[in-house]
Amino acid sequence: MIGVGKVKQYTNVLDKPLSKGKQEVSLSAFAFLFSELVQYNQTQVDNIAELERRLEDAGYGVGVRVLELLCHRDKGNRRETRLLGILSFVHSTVWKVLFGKVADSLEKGTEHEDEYMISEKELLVNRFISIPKDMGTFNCGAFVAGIVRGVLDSAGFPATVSAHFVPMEGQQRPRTTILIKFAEEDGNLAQREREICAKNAAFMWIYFRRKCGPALLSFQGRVVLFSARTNGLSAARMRERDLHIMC
Amino acid sequence: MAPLVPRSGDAVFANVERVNAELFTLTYGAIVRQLLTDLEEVEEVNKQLDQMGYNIGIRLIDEFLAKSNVSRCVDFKETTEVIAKVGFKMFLGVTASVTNWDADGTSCSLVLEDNPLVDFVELPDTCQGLYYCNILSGVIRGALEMVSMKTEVNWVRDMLRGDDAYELRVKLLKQVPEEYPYKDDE
Repeated sequence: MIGVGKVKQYTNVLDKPLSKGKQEVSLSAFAFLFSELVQYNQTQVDNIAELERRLEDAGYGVGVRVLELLCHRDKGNRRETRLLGILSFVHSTVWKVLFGKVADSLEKGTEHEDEYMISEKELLVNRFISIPKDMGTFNCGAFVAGIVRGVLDSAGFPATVSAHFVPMEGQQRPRTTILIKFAEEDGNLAQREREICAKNAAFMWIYFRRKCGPALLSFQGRVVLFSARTNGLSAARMRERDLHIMC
Repeated sequence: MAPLVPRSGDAVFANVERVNAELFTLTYGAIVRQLLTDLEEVEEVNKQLDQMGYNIGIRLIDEFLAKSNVSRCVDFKETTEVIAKVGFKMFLGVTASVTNWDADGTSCSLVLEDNPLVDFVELPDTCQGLYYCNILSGVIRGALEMVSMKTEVNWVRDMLRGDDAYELRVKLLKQVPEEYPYKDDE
């Protein structure tokens, strides 16, 4: 019979059906490939900072594509708009798909706003790598930092991401922490979060107003007054402490 | 020590630690992109990929021999069978087939239907001369050189260029006898 057993030829890669993502290769194949990546980059640079930057740039490309793939396949083309949403997406979904397990922990930085940390006892990429003493604080996890930066950047949350070794007591190999610092830009991120809260508040206000007539709503004894404009509600109209109740 | 039974590719693959193929694919893509940005010439990128594959191959062969317990291959035919069935399966999770033997048995084709390196890949018009999977030819060449076989590996068919499968032509150039690092009479 004609055509039996013949693989269908797709001229355009976009026409090919998307794989389920269950195919696997051996860890050593990946480790060999990654070591070649690092070795090649070592020949192209003069200093450690440059090497880290190149690894990060390589990871950036991976991150952008991972976000596209996962959004389409696992999340049904919905995108995250909240900060905590995208962080938990990176911490669970992205880590699970790429490294087979969720990241060990996700923490918020105590010193600065907009700083978060994803920690991992041993990054997959660092499994077979040891850093010589003269390379100081260099961490091949810069590749993973690049992946995270790629995901966050394409999701609309620009950030600076870096990987650091954190020595742990009682353990020979130090833990790796991916430090995520969201780009400030005049407090853009905090402003955006506030505006989302404000919009949510406005919708709630309109809903309750329709239900119980124009009245003042009181939360925990504090009176909240706000305008019911739904388009681009200005946060300045809402008093700051009331916002904290709403959010 | 009792002689170890050679394991099939599937058995070995089930026993090694595995990672998601997509991480592997995307990392390889990142490497090729970096090379294209740095070197700009497609021929140079091909050569560099082959060199990287060679560096991998000379170390990969140790792991292969350690984990798969294959016995010494009698001839080149057996060698290529082992590469196709056990080697590819063990590292890439896919099997290849060996076809098109020439008259003296020194040259054959390895055909890959499935290739985890090329998921999501399309070659743009500016890179038409690129052998995207050239790292594989380097790996095979490097690995065989460490077991005393000098070979030449070329691409015959490439799905990214419109063919229907990936075909590598492996040609045995010569068998190099083992050289010992010390002389007998010293």
